[in-house]
Amino acid sequence: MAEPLKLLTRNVGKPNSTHIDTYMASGGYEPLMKALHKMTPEQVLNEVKAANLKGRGGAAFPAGLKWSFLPRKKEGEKKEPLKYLVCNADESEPGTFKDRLLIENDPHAILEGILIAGWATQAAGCFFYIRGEMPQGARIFQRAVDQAYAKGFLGKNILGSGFDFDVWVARGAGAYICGEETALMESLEGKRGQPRLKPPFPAGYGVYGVPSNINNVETYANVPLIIQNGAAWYTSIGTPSMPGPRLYGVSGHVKRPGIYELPGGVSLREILYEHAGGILGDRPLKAVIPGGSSTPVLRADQIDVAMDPDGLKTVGSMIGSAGVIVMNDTVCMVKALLNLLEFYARESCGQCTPCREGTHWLELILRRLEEGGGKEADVDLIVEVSENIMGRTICPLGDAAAMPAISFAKQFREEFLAHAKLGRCPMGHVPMTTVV
Amino acid sequence: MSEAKPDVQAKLQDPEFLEKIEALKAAYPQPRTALLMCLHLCQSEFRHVPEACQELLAEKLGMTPAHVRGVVTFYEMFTEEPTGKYLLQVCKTLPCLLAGSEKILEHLERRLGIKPGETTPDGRFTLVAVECLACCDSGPAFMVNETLHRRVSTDDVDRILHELE
Amino acid sequence: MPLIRIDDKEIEAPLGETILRTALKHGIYIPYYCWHPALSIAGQCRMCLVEVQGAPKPLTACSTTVTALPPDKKIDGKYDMVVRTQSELVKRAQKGILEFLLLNHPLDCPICDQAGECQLQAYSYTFGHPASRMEFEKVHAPKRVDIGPHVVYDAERCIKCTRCIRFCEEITKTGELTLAERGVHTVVDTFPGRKLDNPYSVCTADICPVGALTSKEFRFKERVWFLTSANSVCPECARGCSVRMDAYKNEVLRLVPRENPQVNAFWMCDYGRLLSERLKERKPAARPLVRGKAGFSAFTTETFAPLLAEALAPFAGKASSAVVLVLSARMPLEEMAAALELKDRLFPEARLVVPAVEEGEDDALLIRKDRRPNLKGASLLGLKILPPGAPLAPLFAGKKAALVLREDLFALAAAGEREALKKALEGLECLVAGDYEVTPTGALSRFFLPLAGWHEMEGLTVNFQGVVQKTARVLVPPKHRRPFYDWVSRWLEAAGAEGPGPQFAPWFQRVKERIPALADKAVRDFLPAGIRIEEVTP
Repeated sequence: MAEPLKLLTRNVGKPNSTHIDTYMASGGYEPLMKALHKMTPEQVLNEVKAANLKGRGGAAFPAGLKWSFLPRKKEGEKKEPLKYLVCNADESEPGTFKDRLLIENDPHAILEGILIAGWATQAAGCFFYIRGEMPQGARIFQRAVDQAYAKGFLGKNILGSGFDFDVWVARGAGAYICGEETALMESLEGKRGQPRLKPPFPAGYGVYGVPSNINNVETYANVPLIIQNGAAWYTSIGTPSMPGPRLYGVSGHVKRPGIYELPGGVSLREILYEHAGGILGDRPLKAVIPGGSSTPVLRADQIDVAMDPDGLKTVGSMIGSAGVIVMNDTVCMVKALLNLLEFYARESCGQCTPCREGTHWLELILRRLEEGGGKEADVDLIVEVSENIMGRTICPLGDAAAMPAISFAKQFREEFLAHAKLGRCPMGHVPMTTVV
Repeated sequence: MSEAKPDVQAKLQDPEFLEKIEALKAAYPQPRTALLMCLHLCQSEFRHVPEACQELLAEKLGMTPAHVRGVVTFYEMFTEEPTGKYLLQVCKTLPCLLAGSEKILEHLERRLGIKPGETTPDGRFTLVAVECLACCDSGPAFMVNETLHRRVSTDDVDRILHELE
Repeated sequence: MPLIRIDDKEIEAPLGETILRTALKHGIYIPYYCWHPALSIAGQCRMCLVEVQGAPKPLTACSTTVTALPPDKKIDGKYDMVVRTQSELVKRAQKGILEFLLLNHPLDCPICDQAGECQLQAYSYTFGHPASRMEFEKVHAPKRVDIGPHVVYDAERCIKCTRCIRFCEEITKTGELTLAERGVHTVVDTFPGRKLDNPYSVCTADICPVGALTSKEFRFKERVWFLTSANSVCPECARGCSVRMDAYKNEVLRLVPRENPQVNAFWMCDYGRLLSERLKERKPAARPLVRGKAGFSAFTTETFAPLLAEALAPFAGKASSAVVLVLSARMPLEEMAAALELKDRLFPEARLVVPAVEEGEDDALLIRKDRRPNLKGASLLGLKILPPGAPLAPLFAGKKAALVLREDLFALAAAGEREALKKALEGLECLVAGDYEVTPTGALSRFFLPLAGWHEMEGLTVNFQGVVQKTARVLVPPKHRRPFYDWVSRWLEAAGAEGPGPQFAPWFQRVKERIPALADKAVRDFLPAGIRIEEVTP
């Protein structure tokens, strides 16, 4: 069993952990000084590339590579082209609650990561877009930003380096879709959060049409660790397809739900049974969603798998946000999927046809199946409708709804069919295990 | 300008309130980024975003009133009708469902005599079932205005409401 | 230029051009809803999904552009892109999208005005499922929404393609419309109390691919397949928007813009469009009239022409210096040519003027302050233009006879001048007026010629840019209401001078003789969008 790490969570639990003095007392902002004074932007970029830092928001795209898509000044040019960074703190994928932990406990680690990324890309500043439902986090982060300005880590000519960088905190207002990078940018521009057509990609056309790079909170928080300890150290943790430490959020039917900082690629079984203490009520495990609600669901016999992109691919799923939702045998899978489709239908922005209409239709089919009146053909219909959404939408929300729908209906087909045969939920009499 | 209630009208002319809007406008590289922040300001001030407010912000930020309305209706935290003094938000998404959110919601419905989306006749409480609040390890999550309560039981809910009353 | 293949067709297409435009240009049809050639690309309806070789999923043809591959990477050794619009994947995608679009659509075609020109209907037959698999209560949304003075919105029929919203943002720049709410409850809406009220609002109904936005004036008037149509030109300002006039029985029911890149793009203003409504309120004259002691008596064409010729004979020839001809820039070139012919043959010394009529200002889109369709034509024919607002009464000073055509002078005159004008007209020995209806000017005439309406005759008209377009008649006028050139032919014959005949063709010939730039043109050259002639100084 891997010991829990104290890297990303090194300051969590310390008294006054959000204050810049607390952060600096244990070496905080030293990586920034190292980057600004001892490394060129290119060296920083190469270090992050060598560390193979994978995006922690869901797509696991290599962060260093993403940074390198931003335009840089050409030979003979005096000024860097204007570009922005964005920190995606719109944490709203069901089952995902790791960014909240960092924002509310260690905002300076995020801020330092943003600053180092700013240096590496020579960006003008960063928009920190935080969920509207996290007012506390917004206040904490704003305070951290104010402290950093006061210490000269933000603003003009940071620590005498000649580098200028600003951070702007902006709040969302209740829309899951704004976690999608281009919807977030629309929202930053004071618009409805409707994802943009791609191409053009944010690196060419981002906030205000200016080239922009967007990373998740946890992704940025990894950057100071990489700069402080080097890429070789970083890749010694985790697996090739998910190097470094990772925050696994475990929720649902486990005895000790919570955030566990463990190496990338740790086994799902280990997370559930060793760190999270096993299944609630000591009942049989039924299903696990490994990486936030959008990732395909696994059956109990599929948990001997590495929690990284390569490992989860072998069981047809994805690492996503590493938000693990655990369900024991008291859970009706139709009801669970209905709950998720209610979510996706409600959160669909409504601009493109398959997602707007399809998620709603799926919700209706599932409700009938769960509440009575469903037909056996509905099970295939769920798959067909989902396949008609999958890959046909502007943004990934369509896929995010279709993937759980297809996987639930296929992995638990017999249970879905039983609903139709019985004309209602066969588990109606089994009280579902709950915490309260 | 739309007809606005006297208190709204007064607020929209209050220099202190207008200054806050100007400050938000100036806080970002482009003023339009301030729209959501300004709408938050209005929502917390009036517990909804009155039409007159939307028109004012449209004018201040160089947008059409229709655009502002499109934004207000898109985001769940903004409402066109006033909410109660206390906005009771129960997370209903899967992790909280697994933790028992249905019981919490049912309890609140019974206690307040209203359905999600409704406001008590005295205007004190609005009950809403919200989607994932990103504290899935400590569900059921229950948020009252800006205060998040984790892992609440029905007894906790009673205690919290009692403290509000 | 990259070489691409769309289905079986090899096409050289410019880099960066979209697949959809390229396909349409080469006669390959890809269905679409939200795309419109004049609007920004939304990519929202997903109807135009095609298969692009190498792409992991189908792509929207409206937003995917032609790209180039390096020489060693070409597909089949030569293509930069291979696109399939008919593959199983594409057909499945199209079926899927249509099924989604119809899920919550009310399927109320029998009572929908769009029926017959609805893209949902059209595509359903070509690309859709034969039956619906939707077994649930549909989402209900506002119907018959009074969204603007001339447009009604039905949110249940709406497919949220946002063409109307983009039109108001990008073309009129008025921004009255927005999407409101989200998910399946998304609707098009306005800000309360600020309606879709701009000078081009009904264009939103034109570009609405379904029956969500319909014209208030045309609603429930007639099924579109019963309409007779003719290509015409809007006569309400110097823009001369290309229009189609749709009529049923004896009524023009609507005007809709025709695409004409050099004149009006895809649009027309509401004022021009509502000509159909104004026509309904007019009382066109059906018979030529002659004033006697007891007022007007109605005549027939055959009995009227000799009377007219005889009455005007004393003012012909040398005496014609006492004659004034007031034409209108509402007359097509052929009528103007006929007036010139009349002057040359019978009234050589007469004065001939065309008053210019202006109102308001030119706008940034189409509307011109010059409120007449053919002032440019008048100047091409070398006619004397009277500046806008010039006093009219002095035209008749010292004159004995006058011919006033297609203008009510009282409507043009300043309020303070009307009395003097009335005196001047009453002081004439013989006033001949010709118009579609008996106007206050016509009421003072001794001879009144009922003239065919703009929608009832053929003619050429020249807009302010010099674009010459041809109108066709959508309705046949009653027997005794005729174009002015027809009356002139009969007048000349009755006066013993040979005329070219009452038809359009010989008068078109006369126009060609008078305007050198048109000399080598045939009628077909003006169809469908007109031709722009070089600036000619007469």
